[in-house]
Amino acid sequence: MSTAIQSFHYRLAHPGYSVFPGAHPGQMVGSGHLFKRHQPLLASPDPRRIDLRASVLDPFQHYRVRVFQQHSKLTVYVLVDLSASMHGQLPAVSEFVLSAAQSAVQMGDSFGFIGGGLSIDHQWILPAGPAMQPVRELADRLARFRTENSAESLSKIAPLLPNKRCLLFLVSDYHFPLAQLQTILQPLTSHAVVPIVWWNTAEFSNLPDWGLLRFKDAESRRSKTLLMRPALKQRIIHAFENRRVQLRQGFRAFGMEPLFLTDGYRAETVNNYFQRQAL
Amino acid sequence: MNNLAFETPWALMGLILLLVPIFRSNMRATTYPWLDILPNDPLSELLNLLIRLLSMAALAALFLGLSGIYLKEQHVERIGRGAHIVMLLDRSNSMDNSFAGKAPSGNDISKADAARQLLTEFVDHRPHDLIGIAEYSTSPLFVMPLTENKQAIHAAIDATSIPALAYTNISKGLSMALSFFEHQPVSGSRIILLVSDGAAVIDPDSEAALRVLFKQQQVRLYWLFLRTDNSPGIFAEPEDQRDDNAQAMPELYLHRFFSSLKIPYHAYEAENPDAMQKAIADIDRLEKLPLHYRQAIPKQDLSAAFYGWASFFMLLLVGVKMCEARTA
Repeated sequence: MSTAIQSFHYRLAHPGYSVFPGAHPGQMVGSGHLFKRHQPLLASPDPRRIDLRASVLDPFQHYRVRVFQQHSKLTVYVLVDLSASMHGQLPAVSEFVLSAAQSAVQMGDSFGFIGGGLSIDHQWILPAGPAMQPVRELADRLARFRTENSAESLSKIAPLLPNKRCLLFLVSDYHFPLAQLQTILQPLTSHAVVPIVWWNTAEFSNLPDWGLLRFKDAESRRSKTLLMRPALKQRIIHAFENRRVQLRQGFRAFGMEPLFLTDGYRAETVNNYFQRQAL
Repeated sequence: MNNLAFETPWALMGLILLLVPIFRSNMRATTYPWLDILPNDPLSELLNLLIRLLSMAALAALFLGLSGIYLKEQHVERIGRGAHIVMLLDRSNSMDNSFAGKAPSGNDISKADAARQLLTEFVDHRPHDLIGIAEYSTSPLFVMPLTENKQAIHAAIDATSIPALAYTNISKGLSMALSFFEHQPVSGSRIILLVSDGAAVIDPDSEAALRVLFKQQQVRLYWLFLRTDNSPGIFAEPEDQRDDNAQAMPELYLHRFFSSLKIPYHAYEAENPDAMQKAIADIDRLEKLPLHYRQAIPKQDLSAAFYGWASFFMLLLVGVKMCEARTA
């Protein structure tokens, strides 16, 4: 299984604050290649970095030392909506979790996972760390998990996250009212959030053209019978298009650009996303 | 609704299952993440309602069929032309003789046979009549109350083929015939058809009682007198003054009594079967007043029809099931 995991490359434009060295632009001063500023020798006692020219030009006759910007480590979290509506998607989501974990570990970043259903269960919390093995176990469990609740707890995830800016992948089908979307996104604004809208084409464009269909809501258990015909199918596809526009507006209000996954997960899609914009 | 009844009413308990289609559907459900995103479709909602109603109808028809629903015997009020007729038949010995006054032999038929034959035809001609039959001999015989059941009337007329009895007691017979009209609605005309070959003296007490009864019941009286050869007829005036009494000429006196009743009365004197037929045809022609009568419609079993409906509905439901789309 591990051989099949594809990894993707992510980057953040906004510098991080982590004290630990890593692969991403940071604000810490340390061993890097990017010149940041001059400092007095007393503040940064490294005689190797004394800048003679700057020291000569200093009107107070102090030694000036060059300091460099240190690349810092990043924490990557995958937050997954474990509501009943996500049931069919979970195997694919677990694939994405493994992929994200591998990408993070390859970059030397730490990876964590939080899944939220009706409430946040401790079995679905994986604290950020550098190891792959716990992620594999968790992905196994996730692929086999039978969800049966709503996504009430997604808005309560923020206190479990580090205070420092992290990269968050917020995976859900976002099948809830837009007002709930706001309460979920509001506490996460201090982080770099990549909302991944995970839809299944069987729900709209792959519906049959003709025939009777009875749909049962995964969460409310209500049911609805539809007489499928091409016109109605077009209306359903149109409804999903509308929803896509609404969601995009909703995310952009919080400065986030959503990533729509409708044909299953492929690492290239995420690569494309990060090439188009850096967070 | 009051006309419906059930053979096995406990099977109606199955009608509770009518609630099932409200809560459950016969269609396979596909789990869908969010129903709110699906657009509203009035056509689908209408169809859904129809399917539920169809399932309920199928269940209802099935259980009504199982409960053996049937329509009770019913009466339909109709208006026809006819009368309430009571045939008062003479069953004295002399009726078994031919018109010649002898025991019938060869081609001769007895007066009773001729009467029977003609009355049977008469009954067949009059589909809407209520007909009752009384007989009299020494005492009156109650044969058949007023009924529209032609089979029963025929059987009653045929029953007069058994040998006749003794004497003639006409006053008792008349009062019994009149009693048939008690508790009957006055509709159409009421007729007493007296078929006899002789008469008898009516004593004054009975005479007074009969006068009252005839007035009360508003009947018309037809007397079909089967005259035997050489016997005095109804209209024969006595030749000798001494014979002018009820004992000697009971027929004449009975005729006079009937005429004095001030009711529509007609006497026919028949000396042979043909004359008798003519008399009966005459009555048949005269007595055609509008008549309210009630026709009985027998109990009807409806369960077969309900089973038919149930299978029809179920066939439709199978068709709907066939229309179900398959999702991957």
